[in-house]
Amino acid sequence: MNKVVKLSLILFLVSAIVAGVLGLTDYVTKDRIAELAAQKTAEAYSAVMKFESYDEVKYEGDQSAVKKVYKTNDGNWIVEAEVSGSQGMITVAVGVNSDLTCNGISIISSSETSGLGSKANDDFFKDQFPGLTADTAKVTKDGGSVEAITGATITSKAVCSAVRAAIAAVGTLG
Amino acid sequence: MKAKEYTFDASYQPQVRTNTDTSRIMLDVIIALVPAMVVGVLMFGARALALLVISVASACFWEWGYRKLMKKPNSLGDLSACVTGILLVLCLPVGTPLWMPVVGTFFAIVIVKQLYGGIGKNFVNPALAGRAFMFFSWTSVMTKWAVPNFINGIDAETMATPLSILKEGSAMPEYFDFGNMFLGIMPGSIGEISTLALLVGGVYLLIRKVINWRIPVAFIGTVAILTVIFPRNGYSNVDWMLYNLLSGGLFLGAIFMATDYSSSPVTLNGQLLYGFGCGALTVLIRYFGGFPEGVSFAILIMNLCAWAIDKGTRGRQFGVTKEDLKAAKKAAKEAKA
Amino acid sequence: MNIKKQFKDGLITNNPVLVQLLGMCSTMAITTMLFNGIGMGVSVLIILTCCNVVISAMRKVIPNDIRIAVFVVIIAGFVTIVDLLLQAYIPALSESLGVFIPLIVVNCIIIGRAEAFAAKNTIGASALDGIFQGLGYTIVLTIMCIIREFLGSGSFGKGLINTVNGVIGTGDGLQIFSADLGAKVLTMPFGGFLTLGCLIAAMQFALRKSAEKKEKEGNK
Repeated sequence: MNKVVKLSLILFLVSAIVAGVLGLTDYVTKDRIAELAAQKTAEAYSAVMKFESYDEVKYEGDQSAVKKVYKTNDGNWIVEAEVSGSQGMITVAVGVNSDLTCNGISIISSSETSGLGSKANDDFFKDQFPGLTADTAKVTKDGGSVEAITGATITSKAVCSAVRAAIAAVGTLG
Repeated sequence: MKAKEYTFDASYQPQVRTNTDTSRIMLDVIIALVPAMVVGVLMFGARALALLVISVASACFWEWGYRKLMKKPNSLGDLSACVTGILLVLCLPVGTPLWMPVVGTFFAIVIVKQLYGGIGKNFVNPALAGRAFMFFSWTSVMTKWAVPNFINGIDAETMATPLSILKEGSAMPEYFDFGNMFLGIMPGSIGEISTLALLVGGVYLLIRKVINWRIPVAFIGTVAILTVIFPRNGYSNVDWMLYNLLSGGLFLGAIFMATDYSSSPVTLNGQLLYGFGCGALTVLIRYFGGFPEGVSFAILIMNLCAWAIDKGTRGRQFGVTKEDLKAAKKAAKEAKA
Repeated sequence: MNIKKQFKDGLITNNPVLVQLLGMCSTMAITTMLFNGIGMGVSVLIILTCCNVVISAMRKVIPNDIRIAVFVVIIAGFVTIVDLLLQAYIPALSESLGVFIPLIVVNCIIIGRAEAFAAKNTIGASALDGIFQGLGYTIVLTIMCIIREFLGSGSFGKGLINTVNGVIGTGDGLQIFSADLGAKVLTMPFGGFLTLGCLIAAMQFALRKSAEKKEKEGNK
């Protein structure tokens, strides 16, 4: 038998088996991972805005970072924005009041560096956001009022840009 | 009774015999630092003195302790640990908690100096490395500047240094006139404030031939030229240059730290290049960096380049002409082909 | 096979991190708290052992020409399985380690042991090798975490001690001194390099001392 064909066949076989096992694992864990993610999203939403119920609003503006927009029963907004951080995408839930100020933020998912960028989810950082407007939601270096996380300026800037995008999106909707 | 044994170190000629040894050089450095220490204590009071004593004592303790633990000969006598202790305190703000220099000197002496083999083998300046360690560990403490004596009318514990005012781009307050800044009546690290005192020390070191003029002059000259050409924030060219020269740790760094023997180049052209690099990096960090001051980082970065600079600026062997070198290069090329 | 020698090899004389200098990236990146260190260590231990067993079992079937490709496929498979399981059952760890779990695929310890050991030895010995090398890795990570967490933020066992409702990964740990006094630089990447450098130096010092001692005894 041709050597190349034989080698390819073996590699294919190994890959196929591994892929099969992976598929099985995915099948077993899929539901639980989705459930955890949904739970986390719900927690993140209630952390950024008080509400009893909300409805999804279609957003087709030019803020490409904004992924989902919800309007709460009180006329306030929850925006899910996705921005690129230093290691990958960061998904942020931003609560926006009807007067276009930020009500709070929560990181839904990120792959930032452990111990540096991952601190974006720490209270000392998140607590700086309530009350900010599109003009002040910048790190201090850019003339805003958010103190950047030590050693994670890129992450801090990314989160700020998510907040600005969310406020801008709500501005065009509301 | 056994006759005393004499040993001789034989080496190639030419040989010069002097009485200069490490401890004499270090003693000269300490003497040259006295004016800066005096100004520091005058401006910031007894706390500066306490920091100084703690730092020197802890530096000596770490040096002694490490050598003892590793069963190596005691090296306290060369006074280099004292110099490191003094230099470290001179680049700290006076509000530093009293225990912090102990950690700083541990990093400087044990990790930067002794782990690499002791005096002469450190690859960066130990005092500056200690300061950098403290700076990134306790950034908030290290960027709070106490109001010095002789400045009246400030009703606060801390104030902005001239450098941070320059960085923000606001107008310079009246109490920072050039005379005051030259004498050292301004906030800043304990030993960096008085350009006059540092210059006196520098002249003493030059007279004693402990340092030569190349590194400090190239360093300060580069900063002067770059700042006079590129003023910012609406200052006039000369004002901007003078503020940049007189504030921050420029003179302390250029005279006492960049000239550290083991972490600076030995070739004369290399020293000029090294000084130029320090100056250019200082200006770049001050202009575009996150912190108002860049002297210490500039020197640390250039310390790391010293080896490459030495290699690149190595002189020709005595008696070898340019033509000889060209011929050798050509021969090597042909041999390869 | 000599179990005792393998044990000593993995933990001390041929420690994957301190002597073979493998897997340094994750070692320096994630060792900022105890929870991370143990989590990462155990994940690598499990993956390493599984890979060693499978590769050792297949060592006579895999053609020499494509062995590296096969190794990588198998390793990537196990890493993805562990990644998915962590996401499903220990989400706190998965979140805290982030991208470093998928990056175990390129952790040199695993491919290094596959190539150097599992491809040449029996299944039993390879399994033991995986366990002991993994233990050696875990111990180094744990030591680094304890040093960096204590000196850098003044706490011990963050994520494992004082957990909320017993959920692993939620605890604040024991705060031994105020976090403001901690040398923050040790929690930064620089601190990882520094701690690892000092540990390697100490290890080499100890190894050399013991070798000298042995030589002296031999001479007598």
